[in-house]
Amino acid sequence: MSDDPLRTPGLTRPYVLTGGRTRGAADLPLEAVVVTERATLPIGAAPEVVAIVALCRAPYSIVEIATHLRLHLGVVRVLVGDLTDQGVLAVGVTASSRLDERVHLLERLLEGVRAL
Amino acid sequence: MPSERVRAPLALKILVAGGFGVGKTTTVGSISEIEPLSTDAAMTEVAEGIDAAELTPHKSETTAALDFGRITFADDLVLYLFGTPGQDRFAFMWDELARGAVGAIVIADTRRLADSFPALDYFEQRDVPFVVGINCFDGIRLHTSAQVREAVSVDDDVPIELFDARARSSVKDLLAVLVEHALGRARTELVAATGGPPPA
Repeated sequence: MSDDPLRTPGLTRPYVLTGGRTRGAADLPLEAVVVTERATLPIGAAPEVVAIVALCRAPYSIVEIATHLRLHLGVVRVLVGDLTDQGVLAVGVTASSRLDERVHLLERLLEGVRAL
Repeated sequence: MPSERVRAPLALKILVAGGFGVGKTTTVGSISEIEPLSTDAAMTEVAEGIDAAELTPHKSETTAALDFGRITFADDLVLYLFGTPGQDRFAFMWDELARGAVGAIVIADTRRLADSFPALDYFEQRDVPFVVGINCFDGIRLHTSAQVREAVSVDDDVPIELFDARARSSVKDLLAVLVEHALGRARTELVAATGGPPPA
């Protein structure tokens, strides 16, 4: 039947994985880059968690993790938020709201773009 | 033995917007160090749709996607370029994308300038720094930037540049114009906020 829940796996499963939560503590932007700090995970960690920790031995952004592992962006955010709280992943800084920091960052970026 | 830990770099983003087929993905692809990736916007839509209860989380049959590329400047600074999906169907993604963005490139095609209006309106209203890039398809320059400025009526300080989305150097120059524009605005804000002249 068309109501068969097995035929619409995308609607519930992702948020079962996150215990129903849709936001991580950090509410990470799509471009935030994370890297694995400590690759030891509890026995029974979800395969998605294992995959994220394995992938992020090299730095990857939230949106790259979602794309490479074919996970929902919202799910990646929640899982990465949890793993960051647990000290498994470290998150890089994203755009600052402090003007002086922003000016400094844009200066660095401009220098970088010109040197491309 | 260097056994230093890998550190997470600082990440910035720039948006590439404009009408359908105007050259957003081409622009990202010309300058990205990785083959532009495409995250399934349907995945995003379902995720966000559940989060925002007013959006029906229907499984979209569309293949429209969020394209993005990456430029690594150093081991501690990375820039992501996001091609924005159509605002009509993916409006909820725009606020997410615009949050914290350095700025935006709005690509315009002079044969259908009106296609760029939603993006121009959006970034003007949100006060996101932007430049207008006129994609010269096949090297054809049908209008000057002054004519385009009049037609789209953006503020005088908004840069309008002719460029070629397929040429890396051209996209690079356009990016530099945007970052310079964003930097100028940030400096002005900093001066206004601190009430003094800019630091030497």
